[in-house]
Amino acid sequence: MAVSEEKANPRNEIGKTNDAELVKRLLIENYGYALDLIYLIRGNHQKVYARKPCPLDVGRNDGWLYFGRIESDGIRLTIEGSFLVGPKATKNVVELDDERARRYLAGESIEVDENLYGWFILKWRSYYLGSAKAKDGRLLNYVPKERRLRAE
Amino acid sequence: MSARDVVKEANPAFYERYSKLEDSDEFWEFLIRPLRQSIRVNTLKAPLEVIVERLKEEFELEPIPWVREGFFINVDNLARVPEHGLGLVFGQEASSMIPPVVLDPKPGELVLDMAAAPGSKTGQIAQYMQNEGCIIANDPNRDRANVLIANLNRMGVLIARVTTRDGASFARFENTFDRVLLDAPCSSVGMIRKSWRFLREWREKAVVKYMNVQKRLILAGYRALKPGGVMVYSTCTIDPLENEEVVDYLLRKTDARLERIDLPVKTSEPVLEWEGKEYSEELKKALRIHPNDNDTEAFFIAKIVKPGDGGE
Repeated sequence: MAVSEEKANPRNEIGKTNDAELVKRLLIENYGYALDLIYLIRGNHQKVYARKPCPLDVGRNDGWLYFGRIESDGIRLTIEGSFLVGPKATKNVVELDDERARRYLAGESIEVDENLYGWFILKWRSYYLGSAKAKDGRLLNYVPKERRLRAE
Repeated sequence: MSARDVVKEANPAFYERYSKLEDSDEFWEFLIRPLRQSIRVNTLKAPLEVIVERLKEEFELEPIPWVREGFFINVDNLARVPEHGLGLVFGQEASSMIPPVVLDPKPGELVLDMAAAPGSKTGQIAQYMQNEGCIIANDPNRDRANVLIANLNRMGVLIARVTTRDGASFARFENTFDRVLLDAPCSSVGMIRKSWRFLREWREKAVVKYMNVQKRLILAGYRALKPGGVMVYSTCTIDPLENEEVVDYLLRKTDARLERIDLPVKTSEPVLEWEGKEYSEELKKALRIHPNDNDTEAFFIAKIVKPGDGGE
């Protein structure tokens, strides 16, 4: 039992599987769509970064887009990652009405169907708000503090 | 106390120098008046019409005449705008949106942004390139480069490479880039409307220091430009030494030519003579924008072309 649980944790595959392969597989499994980008998994927090190729080698450089994070049970997308994947995602997308979207953007966890479990892309109208974990009838909030909506 | 007296009291040397450039009451009034809040809509994340339609439900938008994606907005704090947190709109001063419009980059091109931080123009360039191609976004200061990275991230830019070199080192990439933006470090007179310290701390000595840096950078940027390519030189200041003098220097040192800029923006006359020195008549093609022209920051923009095949 313990062995199969360990196998199911994608974090255990980091470093053993090619980063792009792992990210694309998790995207397909979780959201039904993967973009063809250069992916890199970096740091203790298993953060996923993405970018497109550049024909010019300028030596040491940065500028990766923070795309998401490998979780023990799937892949969570940042707001930016969700804008890239969301429009073509075929599963695990939850649509929010104006009121719940505003509360989520303000930093609240919001109520959702009790039967949902796992990582979902949140959609508000034509916008994407990142991924949230559905658990016990709630969508847990992952909007970074500095990006939250303020009333005043 | 009149605006003129306020400026005179805050920095007499500043007043003395720039009253030789323009001395209307309007100029001094607008120079110290707070800026209007403006935003650029980020089409890398959603279509322009969709974002504008949603914003209009809640805010008043006034289109900025010279940028399709630019709007003045009636909000003091952008944290109250849902689209801001989502990276669908970006706070950007209206005149600072002009250089990328003039640069007019296309999808698939290779673009150099030599002094890119904090990144609003880089993001605008990426938007016009539809996230296809490559932008080398440079800023020699590590802290500023980190802000640049964070902002490009928020805008959803996938095609930037952020470097922290001395901008002049790009001279070694001779004839490489389709387009080059040099939004040069400058004495920031245009930014007085954002922060009073730019008036208090202004010194003529710094103007000369910046001019020397700008001359090094403009030569390097021009060298890195492909024949037929376009380079835009811009500053957010009004001093002729940092504007006409620098572009005139490039025109004298190289085969560079200027191209006329056709945008619905009010401008002041470019300076063709300053402190006994005469500048090329070509400078008439550059845009010199004073704060009172359009109620914006001050700006200077020149569109430079490198003769040869392969460009416009």
